[in-house]
Amino acid sequence: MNQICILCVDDEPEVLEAIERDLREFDDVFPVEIAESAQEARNLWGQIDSRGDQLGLIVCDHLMPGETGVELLISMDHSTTAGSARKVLLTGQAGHEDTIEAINRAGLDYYISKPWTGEHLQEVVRKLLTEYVLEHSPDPMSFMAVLDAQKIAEAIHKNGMTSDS
Amino acid sequence: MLLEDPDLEQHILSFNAGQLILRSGEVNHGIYLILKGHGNLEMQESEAEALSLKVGSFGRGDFLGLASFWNQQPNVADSRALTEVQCLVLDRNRFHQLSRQKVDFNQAIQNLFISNLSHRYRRGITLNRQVATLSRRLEKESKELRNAINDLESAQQQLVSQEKLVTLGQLIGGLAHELNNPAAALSRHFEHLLGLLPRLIPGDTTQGVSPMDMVLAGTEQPHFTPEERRDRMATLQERFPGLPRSVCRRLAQAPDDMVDSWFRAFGHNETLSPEFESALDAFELGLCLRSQRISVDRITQLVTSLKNYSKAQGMGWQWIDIRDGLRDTLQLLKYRLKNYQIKSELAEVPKIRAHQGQLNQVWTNLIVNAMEATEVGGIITILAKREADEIHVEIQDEGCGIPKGLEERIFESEFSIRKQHSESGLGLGLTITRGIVQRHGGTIRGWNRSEGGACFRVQLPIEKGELESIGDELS
Repeated sequence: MNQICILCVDDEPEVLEAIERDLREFDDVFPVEIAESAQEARNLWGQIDSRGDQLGLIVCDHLMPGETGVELLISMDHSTTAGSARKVLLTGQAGHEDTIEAINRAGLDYYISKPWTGEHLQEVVRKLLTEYVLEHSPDPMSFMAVLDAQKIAEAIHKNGMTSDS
Repeated sequence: MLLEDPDLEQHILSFNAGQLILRSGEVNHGIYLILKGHGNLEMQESEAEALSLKVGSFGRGDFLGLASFWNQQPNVADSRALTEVQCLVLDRNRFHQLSRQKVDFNQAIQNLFISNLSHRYRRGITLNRQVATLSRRLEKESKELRNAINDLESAQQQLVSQEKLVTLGQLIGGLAHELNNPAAALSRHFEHLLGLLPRLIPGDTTQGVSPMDMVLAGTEQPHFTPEERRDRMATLQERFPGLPRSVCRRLAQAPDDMVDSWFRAFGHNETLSPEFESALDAFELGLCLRSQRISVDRITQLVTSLKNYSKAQGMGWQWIDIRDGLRDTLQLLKYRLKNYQIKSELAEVPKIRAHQGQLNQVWTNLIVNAMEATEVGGIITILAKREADEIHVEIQDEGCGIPKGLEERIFESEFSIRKQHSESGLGLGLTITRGIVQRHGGTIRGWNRSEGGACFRVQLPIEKGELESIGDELS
């Protein structure tokens, strides 16, 4: 299979629904998985692993019952399977210190504070997934329709020239 | 022996009251025997002070100047006559003369010295002891004064805290009002929206499916958990392998019977027909409206609790059901309580005369304390019930408990077992809490539970209201 997946985590059902709806345009190419807790997110992450897919991006709230989002992101960053996944914190309740933790220890790629606009979220996801795809996919062109087409084209062009032989 | 001296008269000196007989700092060359009168030994308190301190006294039969005569050191103190004083003076010459003349003179003088000095020595020790006693007393009083100052300071701090809270309460009251308006408007517009929709959305059925019905179904749809949705998606993908994932995701939001009726009505292909899409869109419209209504309700609840909580601050003593305040407090603390399991059992209790706002502070303090003592995921239980002529409210936690033996002291003002980085700022401390409970004629106790953790119980008396007591008399 080897699909690149997006994981969304938030303990508020209405918020999670809203994020899911915002990322609908990516769903056919990048399967969107949703979780209401860090624990559930870990289960899904395990499932993604075991079926041979990759985790490309995670959009995560911070304050949740049990494990917090930042804690989850930190352990993902230190793992082999999710280490290079792009990490987005989407939250209204991360304090200064938690945010610094996320940047320094979890390799956070983007911080969006609530409330957010759909456009902004989609823009960020598109940018980060484009990066991921260019790093990890043998065939970035297949994602052009959904991602930053121009950037992918430029990258292919550049690589094409260097692999000239 | 000295008195045998024929030249006695020559060696008698008289002094008036107030005169100095011996001056401090001067070297003394005579032994003085007081024949008549008395006086004081005086010293300056310090270089700077002009005040003289009495450091000793002398009277008839005492000797002055013995020590300084003998070791030829300057006098330590002034000797001042208080009354008219007569003394017999034995100067050095006379002294040496007598020494030569009388054999046992030196012996006698030495004995005199020794007895005089040992008398002074004993006096010195007694004085030292007095000084030590006085010092201890002084220190004790000093300590009591310090304690009194501490109490005053903390009372002042409490006042300041109270005032801050009143200010905060006013701000929150204003905020609650501000929020209330848009929340109310949201609610109203939602209803209006629902009213307008049937006029715009086709009501007639296409192939047995009415779009407006779909919208309404969406608004009523119970929530599927992410796990349930995943399962439904998986099932749909199995049944209809050609269907894109995003379509399956949308369909998974609807109940089985509805999805089946759609497929029956519209058939299925690789993509959905426009009519199918319309039905699905209508359903999703309903789902969005549902989400909105849930969120608006939540805002409204919070705002109401906020309003109640802050209004209670400013209200005086009223007949209240204490459970209302408990519920409002829980509502407002909900986000902070996210990491704990909250159990509340609020039994029917009669109304009592109380200050709602102050009791809210009590509940807030106790619940926040329970939270700070408890690990993530722990259970916090809030109970309210009637026991004879009292209302008991208990806050139980599974936390670290009260340090043994300190169950009483935690209510004292200087005492704190709070965590270092206590972010709450909401609790006023158990001292104020107890003060409030006492003002209500009640008591508060804390103890460690046998199952672990602590329990705090507030007992409030139920006054007999006029009606109640009349009822009792009649029955």
